[in-house]
Amino acid sequence: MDNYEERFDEWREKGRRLGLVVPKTTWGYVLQDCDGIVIDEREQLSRSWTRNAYNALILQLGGGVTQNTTFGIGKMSSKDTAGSIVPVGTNIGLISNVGGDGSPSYSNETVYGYYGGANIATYGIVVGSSNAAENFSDYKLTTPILSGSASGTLVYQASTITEAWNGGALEYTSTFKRILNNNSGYSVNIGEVGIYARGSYNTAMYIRDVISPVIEVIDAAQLDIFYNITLAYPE
Amino acid sequence: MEEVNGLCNEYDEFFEMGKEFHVPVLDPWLEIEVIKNGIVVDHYKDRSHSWNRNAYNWMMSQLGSVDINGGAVFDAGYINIKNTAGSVQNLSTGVALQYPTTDSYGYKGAAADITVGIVVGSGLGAESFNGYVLGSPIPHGASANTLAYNQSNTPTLAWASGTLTWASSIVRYLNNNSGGTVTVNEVGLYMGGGYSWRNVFGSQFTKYITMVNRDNISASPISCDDASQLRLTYSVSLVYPSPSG
Repeated sequence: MDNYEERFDEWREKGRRLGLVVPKTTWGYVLQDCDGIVIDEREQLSRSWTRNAYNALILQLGGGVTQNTTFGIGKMSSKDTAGSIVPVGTNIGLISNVGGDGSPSYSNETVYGYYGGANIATYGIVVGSSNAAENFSDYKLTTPILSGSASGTLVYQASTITEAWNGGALEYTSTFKRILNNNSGYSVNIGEVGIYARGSYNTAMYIRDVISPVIEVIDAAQLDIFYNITLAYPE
Repeated sequence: MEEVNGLCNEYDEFFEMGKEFHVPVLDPWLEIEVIKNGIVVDHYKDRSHSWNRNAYNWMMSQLGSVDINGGAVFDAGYINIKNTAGSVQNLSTGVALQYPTTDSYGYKGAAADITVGIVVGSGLGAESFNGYVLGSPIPHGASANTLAYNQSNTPTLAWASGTLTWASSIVRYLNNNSGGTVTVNEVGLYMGGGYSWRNVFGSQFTKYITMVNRDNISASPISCDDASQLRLTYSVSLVYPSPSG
């Protein structure tokens, strides 16, 4: 654990003592070659919640709606991954309002929220090739990698989620994972990863992490990439 | 009586570090003013430490993208919602506040409605993390031991550029037309949420109302004399990272 993580954990523990709700977010990956041998892995803190995520949180827990048609400091709005801003007066957050005919299609785990389906690179955990610096107002990856088998693409598998309760630490953790296969015939470098959160009113990028050094996904390799989001409960 | 939390420096330091870590941490406050003849005659303001299990589960659902689980078990290790009637919601969906500008949803109680928004009570019971309803809600009315609940204000948001903070203010006025003094010992925040869906009959909406916060203020109860007014404010603020990053 480096000094940064030690300071973070001390700060988080202080938050618990003060009665504040402090989430912890980590991301990581496991890279395997075509024989299933792990050739690289990493896990680290994510410090990259974006303006969209902050705005969604204060509007949900604060009971408000968007009030601006521009996006940036001092503006309460939501900018989707296509660059559009939701109309003033919109209730944003992970809101799933469009289920259909008895199917559980309003789920945050299997359709909306951080879920991304097979071959879908527009929802859920998405990776890109750029390692341009993070900016709090980022609303999409700089250079998303598409799903496919052509050069410069990766095959996106459907997201999976696991949830765990740690009764000792009193922590609840959700883990979203996505498997990406390189069937392109060439290496693909990954320099950024983000979460595209899908709600009823838009899809907004909640997190963007720049990866340094970049991950080189060699041809025929498989990348398992994941986010852990943990909340400490008082009891 | 005037109460202002004395630990502000420690909190300020904590939120300042939050900017560096880029972690969103909400800061709720409760403020109560007693107004008589247009003059504030009593004032209470303190940080609210009373988000309950419903609120934590709601945050976990929103930040962690998880659905309600656990069936009828409302306890450690499960993500679900217990409504103010005591029923546990068993839904294959996340937890979300809905229609915040519409009466009876979000934090917006209609006039005379004590089922949504800020609600007060006379109960003395200790705060409980698993609490889901006030101990003894004070009814709406004009008879003894009642208060007239006005329609909740639509929550307003304000940006403070100096501290890089967004704050939402949830306000409700209550009038004492009872002819006597009414004592408030507890304040709750009831949230109207749910989700919409479709079936062969068309669009449907499944609604739940759940208490997300209860503050026991019986150590410094608020006495509201006849013909006076209460102005109750829950503010929820969030410090943002620096503009540069």
